[in-house]
Amino acid sequence: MALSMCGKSAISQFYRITAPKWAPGLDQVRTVVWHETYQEPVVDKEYYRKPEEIDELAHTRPVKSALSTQSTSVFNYPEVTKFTSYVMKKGDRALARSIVEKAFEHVKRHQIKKYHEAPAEEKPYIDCNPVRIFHTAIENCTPVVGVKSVKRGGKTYQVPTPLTDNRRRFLAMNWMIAETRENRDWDNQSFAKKLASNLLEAYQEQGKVVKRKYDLHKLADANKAYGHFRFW
Amino acid sequence: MAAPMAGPLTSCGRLFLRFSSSLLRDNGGNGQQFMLKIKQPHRCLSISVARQRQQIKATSSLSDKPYTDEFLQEMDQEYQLGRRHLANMMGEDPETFTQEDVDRAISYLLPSGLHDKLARPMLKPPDQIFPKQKALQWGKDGRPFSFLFYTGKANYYSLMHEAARVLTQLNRHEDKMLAKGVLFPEPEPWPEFNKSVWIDKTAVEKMITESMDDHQYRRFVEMMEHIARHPYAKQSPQFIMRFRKELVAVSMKQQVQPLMYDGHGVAYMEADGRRKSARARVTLRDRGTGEVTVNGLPLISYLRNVQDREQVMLPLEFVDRLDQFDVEATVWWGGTTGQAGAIRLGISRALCSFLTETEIENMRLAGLLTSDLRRKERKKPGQKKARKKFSWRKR
Repeated sequence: MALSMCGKSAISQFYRITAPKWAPGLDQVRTVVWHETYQEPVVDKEYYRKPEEIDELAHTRPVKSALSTQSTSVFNYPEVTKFTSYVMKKGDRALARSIVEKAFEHVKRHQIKKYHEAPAEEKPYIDCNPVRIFHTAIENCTPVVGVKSVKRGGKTYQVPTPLTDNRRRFLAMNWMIAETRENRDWDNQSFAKKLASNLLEAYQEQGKVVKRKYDLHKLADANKAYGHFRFW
Repeated sequence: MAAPMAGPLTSCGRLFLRFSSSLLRDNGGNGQQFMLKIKQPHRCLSISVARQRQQIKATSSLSDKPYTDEFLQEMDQEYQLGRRHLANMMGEDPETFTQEDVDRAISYLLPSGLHDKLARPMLKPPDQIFPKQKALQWGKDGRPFSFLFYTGKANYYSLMHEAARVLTQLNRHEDKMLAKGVLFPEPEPWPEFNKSVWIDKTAVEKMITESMDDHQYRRFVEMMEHIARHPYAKQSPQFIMRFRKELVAVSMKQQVQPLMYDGHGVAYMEADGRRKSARARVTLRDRGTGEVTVNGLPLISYLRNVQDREQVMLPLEFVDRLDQFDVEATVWWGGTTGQAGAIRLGISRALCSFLTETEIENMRLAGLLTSDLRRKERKKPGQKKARKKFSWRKR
């Protein structure tokens, strides 16, 4: 995609082994300001603690500007930022962020209450860190296999397929948000509160979101006879 | 003394100026026309445009001969003479008078305000003035030397033939090794190759003294990459490295401004930043407490959004110097996100003067020193937004 925007001369100037083959007219023309030689920025202080592990080529190539969602703050977690982006509607990131933070607050309050009510021997096993709970909950919702529709002879088959990490994360997070939005039996509650309850349920490997994961696994298992349609 | 000295100098300088402007522009050039002018420089200088055109017409029909060696030698002698004269004029030693000194001397002795730099007087070695030209391609019997002559791009195709020959050689070598029982050779490190890129189209064109189109260049690069990916590619390094250009570390190109000091001897630095349509001017003061003021207000009351404040503090946080500096920023135009980004860039740039080279390079790799060039994409006619289309059904 990045290739098409720079015009022919620019491509020829920076042609690399890794670059995909370019064919005129096959790519869509889009306005990407970064030339293909620009590399992704790494906004992570840990990464720079081991300078010998940084690729030498990185020093020879220009770098894209860091995004305004990236930060080295101790309160910044890439997974949470990603989740916030999925919660966001019409580009209102500030609102999305406040909702997610509110949900984390509910989770924290719930866990602390549980902590104080619990007998002394159970206390060390109660996690009060909402971010850790969030990570475990998302991990519990992440599917291992998925399905892809393939048309064969006028019929559509659901062919089981391995998923990329990005796709798996997207499915887990999106199910979490979709189940929260569709929650009808708790109508008058805020999104944050419903999200908090969903996170806590998924943390225990229960609830609708985890069920959705198992449904997908079942579907993939039921359709394993169509595995030979997988051509990719 | 003055008259003979001035003669060659002006003729050299002016002649080069005259012909360089015409020759450098069209690469092919007309050697014959040039040679005639050299032989009659004085007429050439006083000639009218109409006469000149007539003369060109008369001479250009003779033939498109390349510059001969004798001619280039003659020009070189003239250049050396001019260089020595200039050295004498400037009162310097002619033996150690370099090209840089020549340029300096000319800009001092013959100051010119002409806008086009090619039109200014100059004295350069002949190989810089006269582009390398193809050698004569056919013999006395009128038959071309190269069997590729009628392709129209003999040099380009012979280069491709050469590449194919190298590839065949490598394949043959691979076969030999296979016969010996070596399936995969040990991968050898080749740092020179990894730290270089293919030379660009103009450089190849210059090398083969032929023009080529983008498609042909792409074919060439594909061919070269095919060779470079060969497991035994390191067997023919000269051929490959001829077409590689070394990559220079980007950080080496960045210039760091020296620190400034106020009346109390406290170091400070100023820098500009921009993001979207916002502009910022940032002053970073050493020996501070981490206070940030934006347009006279504390940061927390100027930027109400948490993410924006995070962005402003990001460079200082990244290098662990949150409490070492005081930041004073003036920011105008744009919205909050843009203003925060502009301040971030300003702080990053100002911070460079306080940091070590490694830290600056780390900041560069974190994308803090790059100006964010992205802008809002325009709305297109016939569409609802930049990318969104009107809803539409066939029937």
